Amino acid sequence: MKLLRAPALAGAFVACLVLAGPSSHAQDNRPTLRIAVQANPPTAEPLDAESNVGYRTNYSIHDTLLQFDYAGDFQLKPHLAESWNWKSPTELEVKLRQGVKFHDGNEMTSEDVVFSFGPERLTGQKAPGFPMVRRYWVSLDKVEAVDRYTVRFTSKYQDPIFEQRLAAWTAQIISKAAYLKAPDYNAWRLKPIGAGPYKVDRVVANDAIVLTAHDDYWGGKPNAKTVLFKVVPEVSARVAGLLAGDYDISSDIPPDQLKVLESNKDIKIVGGPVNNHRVIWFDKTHPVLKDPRIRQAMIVSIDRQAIVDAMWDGRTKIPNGLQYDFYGKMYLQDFPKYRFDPEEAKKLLKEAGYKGEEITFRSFNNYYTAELATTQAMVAMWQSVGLNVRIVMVEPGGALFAPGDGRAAGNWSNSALLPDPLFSLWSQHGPASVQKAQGAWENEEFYKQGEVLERATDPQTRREAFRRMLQINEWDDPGVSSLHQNAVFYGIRKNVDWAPYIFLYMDLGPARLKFK
Amino acid sequence: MTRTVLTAVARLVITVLLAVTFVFVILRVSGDPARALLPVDAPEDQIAAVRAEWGLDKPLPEQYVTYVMKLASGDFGLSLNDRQPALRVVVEKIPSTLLLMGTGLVIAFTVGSALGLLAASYRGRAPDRLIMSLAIFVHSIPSFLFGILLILLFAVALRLLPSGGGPSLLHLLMPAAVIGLSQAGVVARFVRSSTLEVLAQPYITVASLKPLPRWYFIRAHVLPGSALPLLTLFGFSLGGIIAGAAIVESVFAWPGVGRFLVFSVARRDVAVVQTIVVLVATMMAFANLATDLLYAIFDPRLRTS
Repeated sequence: MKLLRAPALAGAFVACLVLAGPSSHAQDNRPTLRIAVQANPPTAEPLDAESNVGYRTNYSIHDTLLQFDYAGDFQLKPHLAESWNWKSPTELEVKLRQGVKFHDGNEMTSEDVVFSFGPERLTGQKAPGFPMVRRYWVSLDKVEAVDRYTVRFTSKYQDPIFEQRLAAWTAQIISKAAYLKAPDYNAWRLKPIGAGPYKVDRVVANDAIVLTAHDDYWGGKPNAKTVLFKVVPEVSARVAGLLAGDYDISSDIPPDQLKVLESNKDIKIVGGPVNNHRVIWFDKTHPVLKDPRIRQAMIVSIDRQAIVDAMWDGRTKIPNGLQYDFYGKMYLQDFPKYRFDPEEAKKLLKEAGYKGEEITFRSFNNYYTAELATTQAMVAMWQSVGLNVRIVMVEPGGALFAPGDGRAAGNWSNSALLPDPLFSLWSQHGPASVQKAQGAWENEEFYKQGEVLERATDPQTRREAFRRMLQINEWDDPGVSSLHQNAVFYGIRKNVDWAPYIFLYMDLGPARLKFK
Repeated sequence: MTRTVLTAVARLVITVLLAVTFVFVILRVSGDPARALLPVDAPEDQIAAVRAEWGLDKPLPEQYVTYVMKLASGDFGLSLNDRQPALRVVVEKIPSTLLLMGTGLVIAFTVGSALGLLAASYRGRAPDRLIMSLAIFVHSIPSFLFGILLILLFAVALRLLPSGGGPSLLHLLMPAAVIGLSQAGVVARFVRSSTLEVLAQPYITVASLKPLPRWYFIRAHVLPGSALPLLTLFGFSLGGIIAGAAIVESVFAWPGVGRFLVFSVARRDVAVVQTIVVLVATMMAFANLATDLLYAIFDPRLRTS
């Protein structure tokens, strides 16, 4: 009898649903976007997740006051702020967009902005974000609320890129009320409350980050109901998962797999060069490399085009110096390109009196894409001009620049975190750099020019300082040499309408992500 | 029996302590956890601050004593990666791994035993040769490659199963098959040789004279004798499966402890690695204890002695 009753009840229930007609809440038919990634950041709080994988997920959760026009000319545009203007050379007044809702439903006000940059979260000695201050906020003096929707930023000096800093990492605005309500910072960092297009559902260590649509997003309702960043460490599994239809996007597809995916009619490849250079570094205190001609010989004996063709299927760029074309007015288009000239290398070695002394070259085991193969190719190129280079493997947990053990040169990369050389050349090779701290490279003239780059407000003066810095760092007294721009490729199913920027930030907002 | 249990418990404690000490020393001498946590070009003062925060700047013996004391009180420390309690983040992944390992073991021992018995029954003939060749093949093929082959066949070509992820029953099939079948090869060889040994015993010759159905003869007379060595194999297999799970979980993006261990070792996340090692060492020691006890139960000779 009981067995008979169950279907009858179910039928009545279904009939009631049908008779009741359409629900007052329309069914949410938006799809889940499934992204297979090689790794995720440990948390969803930008203050402790600055990394390539952190950039990828966090911009979906948090918004900044201003934003670069990543798809256009990298000019600043309003974002959480509606407008901004300089009240004096060191005072910037920012008008906030009204009606912006955080993930917890609270409206964003100037209090939240002040708190986001305040001593409790960012600038205080004991604040979780304090380690980031030296990198991003050296010029920041104070942030004050003028009224409910107006904030005043005061800088310690006239900072030529202060506005750009408001669009950069660590400038994300969080909800003050939610931060103070969280049981502790460890709980907060797994589920922070921001004002981005998606809110955090859960962060599962080494497994997945799941975001859900923030339907009150100021920029419109997101087109995906849920976004899953699933950790699939093996490349072959990411490729197979995409082919099988288990994922909509697979990230970090190595160049040798691109043709496999391109041959599938349902999949396309998007992406290309990103805001990161693969570089090699030099130790100018090394007994052999202290003569800049040896370093110059190493630079001109690398056939960069051969590396790009063989390792990257020709799909990335060789820059003219450690710079990017998205620097806008600061881009030195006429800066000389890298030469491949084995004869010049031999001449330089002869002039320097090089007698085949061993030069060690430190490399990780494929921390960078095709790192080991690239290193082996470079060693072969160096050997062909008479340089005696030996590869020394180091682990990411080891010290890349640690003195001793014949330290001479090695692999590295350089990111441009803003469209300005201050955030690549200066931050990575200036007096606060690890190269200087470990005693591998320093140059007084470079540092003097860097101070001009940091403080000067005249664009032409800054350009000339930048030019001189590049000339010093890349040729006169080489500290690094760029090999090529790194590239990131995504395999994507054709029903997903999305394309990446040159920055590693995956913009999944309503304007950028659509489904066909 | 009491003495057996006490000896096994003492062995368990010593095993866990040795494993913890070994991992503690290896993780600290093979790299700096603070450097692994931060970007490769992090400034020295930031690295020093992280070392001080986590007590990594203290002398190694002091760190060790502090760690063991905390461990004894049940405090496994915080994960360096996300600063959550290490025990909690590890424990929440254990059910997935146990499910995978358990299913793998069931496949390994049922398929392996059946094939081993079959091979022994047809000793020297075509089925025996085929089964033994297959056993060597499935055991020698790297689980990474085996996994990818299964994905290409069942997920990409046939679209019958999901390529990875989980944990659900559908997601479980392929990774469990990889773990189970590669172990089944060993089990099959083991069962074949022990069955042949049993078949040569005089009591089997006597039993074979009875007019019994073949299945009953095998179940009642052959199996009890040939299954006993499987207990030893079970203990060994557990260790092999845990090691194999790290690879299989990575290939199939299975959210288990094995993959987490690989990730945490690379990140020098000492608290998490130590927690996993303590738990795995404890589990292995318990498995050995269980094996010893089962021997005592099932082998009358040991019971009487």
